[in-house]
Amino acid sequence: MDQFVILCFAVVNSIALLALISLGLAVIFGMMRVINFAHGEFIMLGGYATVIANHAGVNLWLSMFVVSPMVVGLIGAVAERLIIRRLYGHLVTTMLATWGLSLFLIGAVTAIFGNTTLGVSAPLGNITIGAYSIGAYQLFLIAVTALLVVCSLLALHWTKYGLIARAAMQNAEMAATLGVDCDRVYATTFIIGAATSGLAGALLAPISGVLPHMGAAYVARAFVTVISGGGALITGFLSAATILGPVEALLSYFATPVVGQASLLLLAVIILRLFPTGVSSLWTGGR
Amino acid sequence: MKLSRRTFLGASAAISGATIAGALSGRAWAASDTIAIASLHDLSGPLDIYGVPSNLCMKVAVEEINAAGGLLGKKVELKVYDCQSDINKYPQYAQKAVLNDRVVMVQGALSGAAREATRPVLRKHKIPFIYGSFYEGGLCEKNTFCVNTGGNQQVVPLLEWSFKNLGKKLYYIASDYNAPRNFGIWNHVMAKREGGQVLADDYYPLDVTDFTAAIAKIQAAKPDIVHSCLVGGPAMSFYRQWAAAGMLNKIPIISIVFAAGNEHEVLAPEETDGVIVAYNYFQELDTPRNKEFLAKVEAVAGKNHPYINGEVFGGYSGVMLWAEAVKRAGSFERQAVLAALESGIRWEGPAGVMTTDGPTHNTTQDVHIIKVKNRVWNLIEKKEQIAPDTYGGKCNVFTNPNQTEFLMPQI
Amino acid sequence: MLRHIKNALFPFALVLAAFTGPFVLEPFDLVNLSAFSAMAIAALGLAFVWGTLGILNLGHSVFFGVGAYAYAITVSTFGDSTLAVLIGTMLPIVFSLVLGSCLFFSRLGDVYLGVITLCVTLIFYSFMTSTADPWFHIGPVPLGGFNGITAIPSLNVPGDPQAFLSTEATFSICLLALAGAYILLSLVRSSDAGRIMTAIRENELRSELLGYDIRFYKLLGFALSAAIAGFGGTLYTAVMGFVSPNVFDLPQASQFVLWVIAGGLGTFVGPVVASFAFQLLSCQLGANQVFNTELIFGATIVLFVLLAPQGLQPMIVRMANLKLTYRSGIFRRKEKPA
Repeated sequence: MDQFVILCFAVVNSIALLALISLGLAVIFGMMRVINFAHGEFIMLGGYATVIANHAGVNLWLSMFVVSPMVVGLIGAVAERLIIRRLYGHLVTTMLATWGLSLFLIGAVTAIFGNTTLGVSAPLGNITIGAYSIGAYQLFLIAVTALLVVCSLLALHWTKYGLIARAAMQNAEMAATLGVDCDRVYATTFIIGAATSGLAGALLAPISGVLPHMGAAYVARAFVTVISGGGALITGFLSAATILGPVEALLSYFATPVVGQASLLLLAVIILRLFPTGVSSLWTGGR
Repeated sequence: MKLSRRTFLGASAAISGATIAGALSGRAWAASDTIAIASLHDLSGPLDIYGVPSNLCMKVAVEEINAAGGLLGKKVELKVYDCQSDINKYPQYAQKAVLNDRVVMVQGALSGAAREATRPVLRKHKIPFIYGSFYEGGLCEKNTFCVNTGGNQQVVPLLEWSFKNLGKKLYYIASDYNAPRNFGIWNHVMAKREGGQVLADDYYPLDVTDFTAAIAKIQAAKPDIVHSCLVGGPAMSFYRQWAAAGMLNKIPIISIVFAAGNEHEVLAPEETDGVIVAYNYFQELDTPRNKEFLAKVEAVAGKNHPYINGEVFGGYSGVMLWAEAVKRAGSFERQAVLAALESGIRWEGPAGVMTTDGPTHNTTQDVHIIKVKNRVWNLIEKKEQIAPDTYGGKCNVFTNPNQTEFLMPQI
Repeated sequence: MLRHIKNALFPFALVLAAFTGPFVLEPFDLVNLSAFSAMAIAALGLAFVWGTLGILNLGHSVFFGVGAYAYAITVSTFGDSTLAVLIGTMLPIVFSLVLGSCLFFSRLGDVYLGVITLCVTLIFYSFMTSTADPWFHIGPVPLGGFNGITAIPSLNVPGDPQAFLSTEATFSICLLALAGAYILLSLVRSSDAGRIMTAIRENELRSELLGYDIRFYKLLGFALSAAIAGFGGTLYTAVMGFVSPNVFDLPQASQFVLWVIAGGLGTFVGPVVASFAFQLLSCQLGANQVFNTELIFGATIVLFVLLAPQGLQPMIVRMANLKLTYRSGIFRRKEKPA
């Protein structure tokens, strides 16, 4: 029984982690079709902002939920203003630019903070279930991720900005004809995406090694999750995470971790083979 | 010893090029009043956490040698290459160091993959390679000299101590690449020797960051000891999630790689207190020679220099042992220096006495079992003068001078 | 006629370099440039499949890696490098046909296809990394896990495994191979099939309605690019003397993509020049420690993108054309509204 509970936890946890690291990328890719190679570095910057603010005496929760998204959102705004904005319409070039940006950010963080930074540990203690015990912080992480996803769904479907954003996403030309300033929508989207990635990094900071290169471990998975999700902005990557996460978690447990990781990738291949424009084409009609 | 056609071909093909290179380098350093050695390290990229301090240690050693008047009347010049955590850069820069800078010795290439990529190049050009990182052991090659601990010098004392003091049931969790798999064999060797039991060998890809399932598996197995050989930034998540699950005080963690990547600094004390490791050197070592050494490190890199751990210390001891060998040989020539190293160079440094071992091309040295508390390491036990393993006599460059392949421990 | 001369200029320059290089360059530079050309060959494969056929293949490195491993295993087993180069080129073709028929027949397109190939190369990376156990071997050659296969023999005179080619000869061969790949792809591009491929890139639906079997042409182009990539992989392994799973990893996969973008999508000279320039830059930065290598490298790329958003070759072409039309200076153009 306790094994079953712990496995359920591992599965849910793995879905939540995939969703958390993909959210920022999904916003940027889904809206702007920009493949943001610097996504991992936005996560890293979020982690750094939390760790450094916390060591400077800011309350941990405050640095996580306020400082990190603000700092990374600001960096995203600067990057958008200086680089991305000049490249709208050259989506391929943006890949090169964000790759350069990612190297630059890693280099800058290493130059400023060195390659070793004192970390913060996970708050909230642990919960015992039979022979097992789990970190309460991880449960908290799952809850926050769920909340984030629900909020973004609501924002996208119930607010005016969400409506405009979806319009710009579906048909930029038509939206522009109707008086929507698409460049501004894109800029806002990029900043929101960056801030979300920053928040993800902040939330991950207490359970991962905050180092200049930590982003590399996340970017491929996030990318695979978002693309196999397909066109539907939030439900797409969420459903992809729900399919991919359990497979990896369960196979890592029952077989070996290598098998788990390989099957995540293999499953993504199969998903895309069956639904050539992502899982969400099932209910969006293959946009 | 099986002399495969491949090794033979490699060796014979090399000879022509190497003779020319050797002649050229001979001419180059006979004329000038400096002598160059190369440092091949990752000074940027994810592995810079190992490369930067190791390179620093080489620099400290070179400055010490030059301050004492140089070697055989020549100043030593350190040619630094940043391999950018890209393995392809190692053979490239090794060639560049040999052909363009005419170096007489190359050190670095810390990770196993980097070492394996660099070794054949230096063998081909006949330039001695000093390997400064601790490793799985079993490298018994004429052209390479290992100055840090091999598998048996680190795992054996640590596991002896652990099986005696912590319990008999061991759970092995490791990153999935060559060295941890080799260390995994040592676990079984030691378990058999000490009457212990290895419950599981779990290998995780290098970029895994979610260890929830891994921790559940360990909790289900209920071991007495967790032996962790997890390496790199992503794997630090394991220690965090382990502590978050409240396991830190329930099952002790032992390791031979923990702290090599400064894990004890990146992680918070409440996540690491009590982790036990074994190294030939650690910065807190309380000896007069270590105090001198740390003063020199501070002189070069300032008060906030990176933590010097057992892995990167090889950067210092390697250059110093090589310098001693040059002095004894009275020459920078490869044959003479290797012969001097093989004759058993005894050098007393910050980590105690180190003696190069001729037949195995490894180094006899002290190993310290240490425990971390509040980001500071404390000595538990010192094991004196542990000799390198001979792998049943197979590890012997005198009887097997053409051996280049790795030797594996036998269970 | 003028266009033909212009097109022949680049391979001619490569051939010239192949024969003069050994007399003017240091041995180290020869080795380095050989490795760079091998990489450039692989990049050409992607430049073709992406630029001409419009297939964004984010996992191009898988063919490069398969070629590299095939060469390593064959040459270590049989000793003859000619056979190994051949197998290292054929195997990626076979693999690309299997993968391609799976992809193109399900009408996958765009970035979705790219992600599948990316996943495939990452699967190869995970698998190859976990083969440290000597149990994983092909013939007498252990796959070697993360450390890969080392001490791989270099190129030899065809049929005589004992007669290794000198550094100079290897350099000439690599540069000639690059020129050859360039000529081959240029010829294919300007052939009838190549024109159809361009049509498919421009508008898939229209080409299909005109009666062309687009899946066949896509498969053809995909296999050709795989062969070129595999060929590059064999040469790279022969020059470097080792291969490790890193040939399959994300940095390697993105490198090819970035060189093609930087050189200018749809061109061939650009990606070759860009791949040389990027590799040279990264090599120089590492050898001359000034500041954090990544910081400088990253800043250079960003700056480059802002100055030449279309890529290297289109920018140079445009600058050259401008000079002809407005002799007084290229800056006047700024006054015109975009």
